[in-house]
Parts: sequence; C-alpha cells; structure tokens
Amino acid sequence: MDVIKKILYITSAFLYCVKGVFAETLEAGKSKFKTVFNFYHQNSNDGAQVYDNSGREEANVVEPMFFFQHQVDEYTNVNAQFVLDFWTAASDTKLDAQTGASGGEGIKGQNRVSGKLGVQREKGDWSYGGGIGYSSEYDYRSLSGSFNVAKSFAQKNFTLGFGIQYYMDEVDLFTDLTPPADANITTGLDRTILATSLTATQLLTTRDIIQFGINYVKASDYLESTASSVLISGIREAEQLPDSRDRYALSTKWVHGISDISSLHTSYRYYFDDWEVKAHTVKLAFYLEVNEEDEDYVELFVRGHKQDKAEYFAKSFSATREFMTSDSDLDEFISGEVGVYYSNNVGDKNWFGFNFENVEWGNGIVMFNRDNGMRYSYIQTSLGVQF
Amino acid sequence: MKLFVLLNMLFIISCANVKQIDRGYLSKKIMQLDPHPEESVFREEVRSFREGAVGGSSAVGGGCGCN
Repeated sequence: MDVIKKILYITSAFLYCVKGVFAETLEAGKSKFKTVFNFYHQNSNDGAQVYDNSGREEANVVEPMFFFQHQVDEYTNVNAQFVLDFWTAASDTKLDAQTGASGGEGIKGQNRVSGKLGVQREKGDWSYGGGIGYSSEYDYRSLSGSFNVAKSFAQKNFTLGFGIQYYMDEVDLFTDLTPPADANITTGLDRTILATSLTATQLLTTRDIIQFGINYVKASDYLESTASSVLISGIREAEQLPDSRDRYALSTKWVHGISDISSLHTSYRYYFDDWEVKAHTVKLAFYLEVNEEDEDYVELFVRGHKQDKAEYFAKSFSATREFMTSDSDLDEFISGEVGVYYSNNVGDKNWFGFNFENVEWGNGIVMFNRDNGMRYSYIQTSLGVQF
Repeated sequence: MKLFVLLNMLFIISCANVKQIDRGYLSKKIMQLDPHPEESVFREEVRSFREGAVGGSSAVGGGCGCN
C-alpha cells in the first residue's frame, strides 16, 4: 500500500515541480551549470543529548552541490539539483559504537544523496512551476513534491507568491538504549512535513524593494532525532517528542540601494511554534560592487538569532516524562553569525574545446557561534557557467 | 482578517509604480532579494538544523546530512 501511495505521489508530483534556485531567466536554448562545494566543520562540548555524556557534537561535512537549468523556450525552463554529502558525526558514532545497535560495523563515515527535478514557466504576469525531490542517507529517506505560483500586479511593481512543499519521509530511530545490549534501530518510521509560504514583494522606489512573508510548517509523526538521547536519573534513554509540530514564521526583508555600487539588505523574522519555541532573527548584509562592468561584488553580513527553549527541553531529567529532549538545537540560546563572500565574473572562456559564457567564480566563509556551546564554520567555493 | 487587511494595504501601496524604464538599477545583482541563491541553499540548510526555528527560507525537510 505504501509503495502504491509513493508511486501515485511521484506521478502526481510530476505534474507540478520545484521552483528552480536559479533566479535569472536565460535566453531560449541556453543552459546554466553551477557547482558549489561546501566544507563544514562543527564543534561543541555541551550537547546534553550525546549518549556517552561527553557532550561532544563535532561533525565534518563535505557537500558538493550541482545545479543545472535549461531554458526550453522564451517562457519555460527545466532545472535540476543534485547533492552529495560525506560526513562524520561524533554523536552517531558514539551512540552506535556503545550500543552496537546497527548490527554491523559501527557508524563512522556517512553519506547522503539528494536530487530535485523541476520545471518553471513565466508568461505575462504569471509565474508557476513545481518539482519533485529525493534524498537518502543511512537513517533517513525523503520523497518530496512542490508547487509555486506568483502573480504580478501594477506593471510588475507588486508580486504575490504562494508556495507549497510536501515531504513524505522515513526515519530510523535508536530505541531501548539502556542497557546498551538491548538497543536496536527501528527502521522506516514515517515523518511528513507540509510547508506553505505566502510572500508579497513591492518595488517601493528605483532603489528600494520590500518583501513580506508568512510561513506555516506542519511536521507530523516521528519527529525525534536519530542520535539524540536523554539522561533520566543517570540512565540514558531515547528522546520522546510529540507526533505533531505546528511552526509559524513572519518575515520581512528590505533591499536598499545606498549608492550606484552598494546596497544594504535588512531582514527580520519572528518565529513561534506549539512546542513553545519563540525566536527573533535579524540579518544585515552589505553588498559592494568592486567591478561595475562585470558586476563583481563582495558581500559582508552579520546575523543574530535568539530563541527560547522548547517546553520539553532539559539537560537532564529526574523522572520519565511523556515528552523529553536534551537536543541542544532546542535549547534557549543566542547565536551570532558573520560571513564574507566574493563573486567574480571572469567573462567568456574556452575550456576543453567548449565555449562557456559568463563564467562566475564565487568564494565565501561563514562563522557561527552559539552561547550554549555550539560553533561552526564553513567555506563555500562555486563555479558557474552558461553555454 | 488581519492577513486580508495587510494584503490589501500592500496592494494599495503598489499603486506607487516604478516604471519599467527606471528599473535598470533594480536589475543589478546586488539589488536582487538573493544575489546567490545556490550558495543560500546550503546556508539555509545548516541554519534550519542548528536552530529551533525555520521559515523565510526553503529548507524545511528532506534530511539533514549532518546530525
């Protein structure tokens, strides 16, 4: 029955598709290809959910991403995204090494494969499209579909957009953690996520754009994390979370042209959900063109985030409760993030006998610190070509 | 109801047109709502897993690739 449901789901999702990440419209018949390599390192000694009480949450991720877009005709493009992940995560490794629950060699290196395929059509004042997606890792599998539509008004000064995404996922969770010999992994547990967004974008002046957004996300079924455990009077057990979470976000963004070669992007988001997490997020990004002809630019940004803890969170518990988590991501914290990015258009190139246009090389670094112990940084390097 | 009023207000604001001929500056990369959407995919993915909040971005599901 599940298989039939999935086949029907995939088939119907083909009727729609994902809005491509490429923002620009290419000439008919032209294609764009871009790779983004991400190198991520995370460190922490304060993760109360880690099975061996060490708190260690270090992780290293290498994630190459590949984006492709082809403009079929004046109005329609097809697009695809393919992602590979390779990582090591201390929390998984420690949990499995001590329980042996996976039944084979303990979890060390892991990987994920993910892909999306979509089509987007823009004609007159209307834009619409959709897509399907797939993702697979050792403890998680995901099938998704999405649809988006936007309508412009007043000679495209005002645009109203609506998007919907649906994820039909499966997660594997560790259970019966104490004693370690009894631990096992229960596979194929359902998790569904419905995400909707409504955005309104207005051109205010020749130098100002403002956008408002409302998001609603409904997550259902098994929402626990694979590697998260809780400490109950000195005994480790798997975290327990409700089978539903309603999440809301209100956001606004203002893009202001400061001069002919610089702009300031200011954004704010207020988030709340029925697990009593409330969060405020502010971001300021400054863009400076360093070569006006090729539009090479530098981005400098700072981002601040403050959130309350989920009502089920505690670093340890004195007695079993219906719902319990010690996941540091659901703790109360304030975080700061800074980043710099440089985009360099190196023009047209002939490589290996092929002519490429608008070759664009990008490099960036982001650093993040949370006041509950977590810190991470990553480097991004990208290469985009048109042909 | 509040949403309806908000959207109507935005619609009314939209009467303040910026003519097509005056949009040259708005078409620059640095004036796009997201000048590098491909890089933002990873940025938003990381944030969605290291914060208890989501929304205002595209990353809401589909696995982590982290733990």
